Amino acid sequence: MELTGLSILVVDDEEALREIFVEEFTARGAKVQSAENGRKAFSLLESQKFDILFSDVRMPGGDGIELLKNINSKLQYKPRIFLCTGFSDLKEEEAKRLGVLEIFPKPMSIIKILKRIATT
Amino acid sequence: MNKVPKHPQEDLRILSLEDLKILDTLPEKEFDEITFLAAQLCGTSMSFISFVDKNRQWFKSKYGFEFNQIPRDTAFCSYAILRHEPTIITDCHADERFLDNPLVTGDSRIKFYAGIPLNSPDGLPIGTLCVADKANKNLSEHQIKCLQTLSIQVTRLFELKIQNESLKASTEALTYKSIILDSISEGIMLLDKSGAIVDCNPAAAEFLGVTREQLLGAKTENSDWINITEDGHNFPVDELPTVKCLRTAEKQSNVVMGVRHIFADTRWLNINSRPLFLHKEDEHSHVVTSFSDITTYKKLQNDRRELEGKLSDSSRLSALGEMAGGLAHEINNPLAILLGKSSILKAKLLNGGLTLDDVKSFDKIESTIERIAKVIRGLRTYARNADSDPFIKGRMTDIITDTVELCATRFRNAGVKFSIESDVDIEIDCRPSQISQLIMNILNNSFDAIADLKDKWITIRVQDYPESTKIIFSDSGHGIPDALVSKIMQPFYSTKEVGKGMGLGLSISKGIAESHGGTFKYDEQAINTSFILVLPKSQQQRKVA
Repeated sequence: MELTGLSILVVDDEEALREIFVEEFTARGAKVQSAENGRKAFSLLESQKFDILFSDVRMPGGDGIELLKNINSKLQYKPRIFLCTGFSDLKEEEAKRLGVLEIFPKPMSIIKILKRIATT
Repeated sequence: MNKVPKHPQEDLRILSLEDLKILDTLPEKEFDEITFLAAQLCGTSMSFISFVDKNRQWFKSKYGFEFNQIPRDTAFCSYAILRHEPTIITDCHADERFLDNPLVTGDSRIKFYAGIPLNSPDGLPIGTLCVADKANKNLSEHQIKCLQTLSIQVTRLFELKIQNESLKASTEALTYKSIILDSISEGIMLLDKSGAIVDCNPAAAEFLGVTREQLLGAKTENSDWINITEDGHNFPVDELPTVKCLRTAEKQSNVVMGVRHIFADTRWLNINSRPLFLHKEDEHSHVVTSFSDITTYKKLQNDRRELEGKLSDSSRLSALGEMAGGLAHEINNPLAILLGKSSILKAKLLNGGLTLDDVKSFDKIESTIERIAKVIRGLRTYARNADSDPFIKGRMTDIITDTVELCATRFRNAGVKFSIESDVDIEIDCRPSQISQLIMNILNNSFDAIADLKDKWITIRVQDYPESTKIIFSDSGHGIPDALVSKIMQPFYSTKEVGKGMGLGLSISKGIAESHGGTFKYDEQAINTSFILVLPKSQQQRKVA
């Protein structure tokens, strides 16, 4: 489950969760940055290239769906997108259409997430 | 001709005469017998019972004279009523007052006149009993005395006539009253001091399934039926309104009692009993008990209560449904933290990398567990049906915080700034679940109302008063249009789109406030949309009041 060389953007309004994801991804060799909402995440995505976007859906100040729409319409490149949410407002088909590879429900198994990301 | 002087109390005298209602009535035997007797006694050819009206003299009875009335100015009696004593004119032709009187100069050629004033029951002279003759005459002392005695009899006849009239009127009134009593659907019973039924109306007998005759003399503690209280217990005999009223002489009002007949459904009565003081002012002689059958009303009331209960349940659950998404998030997020922290700590433990610094992670786990517990607590408080919960002491700020916990994420995600301002920690007697439901209703409403505004905030202010606490809910909305203010508290009134709300939130909130002896109102003065909830601190004082 090596993530070496991958650049990952973690987006979650929950600080403790951001820390957990950052720690886990970093421990496996990824270059990780984080943002607390969709809008901040989008400006990071615009300013540098990320391989993977790992984002929550419901967040104050720009939610995950808005972020996906912005990525699809405004961003020059497309990262591999994974969502992680406590309650999905998004149907699976809709998520696929917006380019989401997988939605992980919270509480999530970190191992499962790491495996999935490592194999994409 | 001399003008006849008026009586000093002329107006009252005329009123008195009119009150007697005798003018222009038909001749009556009783009066004719008296004029006959008077003429015989005095040996005169004429006798009259006459009344001096405004402009005329009218004869109720006349003996030996043909006219029914003559002008007042020509009347001897007009003079006679001015004196208490008998007026006796032995030779009218020699009396200058009557020299040009047609009765003296004309066909009648009256020479002799004697008149005794007749007084009305209130003592004013309204006419005379008089005798007259064409020959010169005089009366002996004895004859005058007899004529006076007869005049007293005439006065008695007046009094009898008046009594008769009033008796007739009261008999008629009594008949009407008894018709009314017989026709109303309310049962009425009159009981004596021993509690025996003296009389009753048909409705009372019909309700009890017996005849009026069977009921007379019976006592209300009959064994054919069982009396029950509203909560289904046997009605204590001493507390029966009739019995209590008999014992205490105090009015018993609107007592609700069930009457369970053997083999029949329970009928519900609304009973009123009041004491009667017929003989002595300070000791009651009877009790009047009236009752109406409120069985149908009571059934409707129960149905309504049941329906309201169901509605409140379904409204509570529908509000819960609206929150479900937020709730899942509310619990799954901390669970995710727990799982994440735990897997990191486990890995560190396995490869021996666990350090004292990781205590922070354990702290985080503990606070995260507490966070979940708080949500569950709020949910438990909110979701239960608390209608029959006992009142317990509850801290206002705790109830508010627990409730707000349920929608904290929803607010945060939507960018709603939420704050609580509270001076002190106030403890009140309440049903915490109901108060929590009330708060949730208002928060949900506020949330929907301000969702599209740029500036989004909700504030709850708790204020302390000696006997009560005031909780003010404000949001960034700009108030409710005047036209809607009267409607918002009505059940099923909603401005939300179909499926978003049942329009029960505010009416249920109002109901909850009232069940706590408090008030819940929209604040029309406030600039921002505000609702004011006032709750008494103690339920004890409320019961006493």
